Amino acid sequence: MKAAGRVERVALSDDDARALRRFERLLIVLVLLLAVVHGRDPAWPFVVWAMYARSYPPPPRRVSETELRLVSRDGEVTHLLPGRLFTQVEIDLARCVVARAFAQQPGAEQYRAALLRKLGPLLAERDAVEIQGWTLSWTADPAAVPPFDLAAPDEEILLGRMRVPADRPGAQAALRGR
Amino acid sequence: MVAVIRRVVQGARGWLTAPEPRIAGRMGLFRMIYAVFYLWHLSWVDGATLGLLPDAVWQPVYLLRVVPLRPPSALPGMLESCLVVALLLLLAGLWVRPVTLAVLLFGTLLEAFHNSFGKVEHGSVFLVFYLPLFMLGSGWGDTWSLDALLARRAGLAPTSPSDDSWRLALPMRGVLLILVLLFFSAVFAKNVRGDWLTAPDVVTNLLSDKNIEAVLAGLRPCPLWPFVVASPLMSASFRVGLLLFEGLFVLVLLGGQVRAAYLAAALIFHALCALLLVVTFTPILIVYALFVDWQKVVARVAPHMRWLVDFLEAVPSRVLTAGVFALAALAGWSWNLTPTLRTTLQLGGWLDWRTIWLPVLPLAVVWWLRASLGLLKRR
Repeated sequence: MKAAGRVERVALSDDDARALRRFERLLIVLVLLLAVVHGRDPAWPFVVWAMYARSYPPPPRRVSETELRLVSRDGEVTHLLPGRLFTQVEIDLARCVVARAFAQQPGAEQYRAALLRKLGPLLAERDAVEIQGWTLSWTADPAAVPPFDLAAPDEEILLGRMRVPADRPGAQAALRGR
Repeated sequence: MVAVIRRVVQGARGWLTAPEPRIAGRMGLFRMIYAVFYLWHLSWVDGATLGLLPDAVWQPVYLLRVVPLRPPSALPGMLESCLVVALLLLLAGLWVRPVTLAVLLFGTLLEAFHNSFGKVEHGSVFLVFYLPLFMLGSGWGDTWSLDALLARRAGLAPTSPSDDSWRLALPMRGVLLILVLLFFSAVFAKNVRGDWLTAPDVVTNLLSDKNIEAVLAGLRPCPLWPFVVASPLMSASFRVGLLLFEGLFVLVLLGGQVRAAYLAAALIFHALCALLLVVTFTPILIVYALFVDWQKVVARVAPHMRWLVDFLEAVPSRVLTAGVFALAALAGWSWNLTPTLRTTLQLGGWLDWRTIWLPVLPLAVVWWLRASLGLLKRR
């Protein structure tokens, strides 16, 4: 048997040669597409990997985060950070959805509908009657580990609150509160 | 010049047409692992909720700009359900060729939709696009599949799992070439487009950023952070080491134990990045599974699986086909109606983008040690 790394000349049948040519053409097309679109993000799936190529500004001294609080019928509060809302990749989108759901602006209803759908099982599990949106802030020490204490924010600002409708739509993903 | 090009082409063809041990069985088993992994990945994706978001956050990728209208809000959820059906049929190995095409189309459209809200996920491009694309014309349904069982019952010659034909290995090599190219693009981006080597604070700022992200995600920050800050040498080593690692990824094309050792090292690198630095590149995991000799692994446990083979042999073909299709359809229908399937795949929420690396890390270390020892013995 010939090892995959060693190069040898082999005689191919017509069918094998055709299969190989098709495969080579596919590879060439893929490489050309990657080159033509410069691997830019909107050209997905023909993206290249930047892998943290850009430089980073110094970390902020002031860190803020939006937080959802689910208030149950018996007054118990479940804290939920945006990272638990969608996937970790979509954390910025989750922050945006939470912030806009509590803003007094056109379109807020759509963000609220998305939130209610996403939180469906957790709202039912915790018997939640109200959802609150908060902005929390901390003073960070970038040289320390951890850089701040998540449980002790310097400032908490209530963005808004909404009642959980009795006929809330069902949702699918399991969410865990903090 | 012409002679040099001819030699390069001959060398490339020799590499592409080299046999790969037990590739027929490996590809069949990989197909099943791919389907399960994709279902797990999909369990975290929520297209139906994203479909409800207003146009203000809609930033379509080029692929979705072909149609000027935003897809109806119900479409992502329907695509998810169709993809679940296709993946379950792929897992069982029923109608593998058309089902692979369905996985490619539904998966690409769904991920394009998912990537149209301001953030493009780079790690999923193999899972969603390259793997099903290369597998379209492959024989990954020739073994460990209902298609193979039904073909054998129809009197067709079966493919042996120990078959080492290069044609079956072509998709694997295509994926490897694209992987090398993308790792090389990372080196290019860091040096030409970015300032990885020239900006002195790039690593310390990156780690600070990741530490803050970790705390906000309720995770432990990187314990290496104080050492990196205290030592400019460590920061420089990190920068140069990463560039070397990405730049030398091309070594995987050497094959054999070199490929195994480098891929295992890459897997350890990804695992450490996920566990220590909150780097979300988890869908890439499936690419590495393509290079594990699953046929060898299964050969060790096969004697204990005899009951399953006996059971499948006893079931009539029509019952098998109808049963598998009915189960897949039921799963697709219930995917967005109840959380049961998703939470089962996520082991009750425990198996997420980060925790999946916990069992992978020790296995990757064992793989790396075995490959490295194999390399040393050969010398």
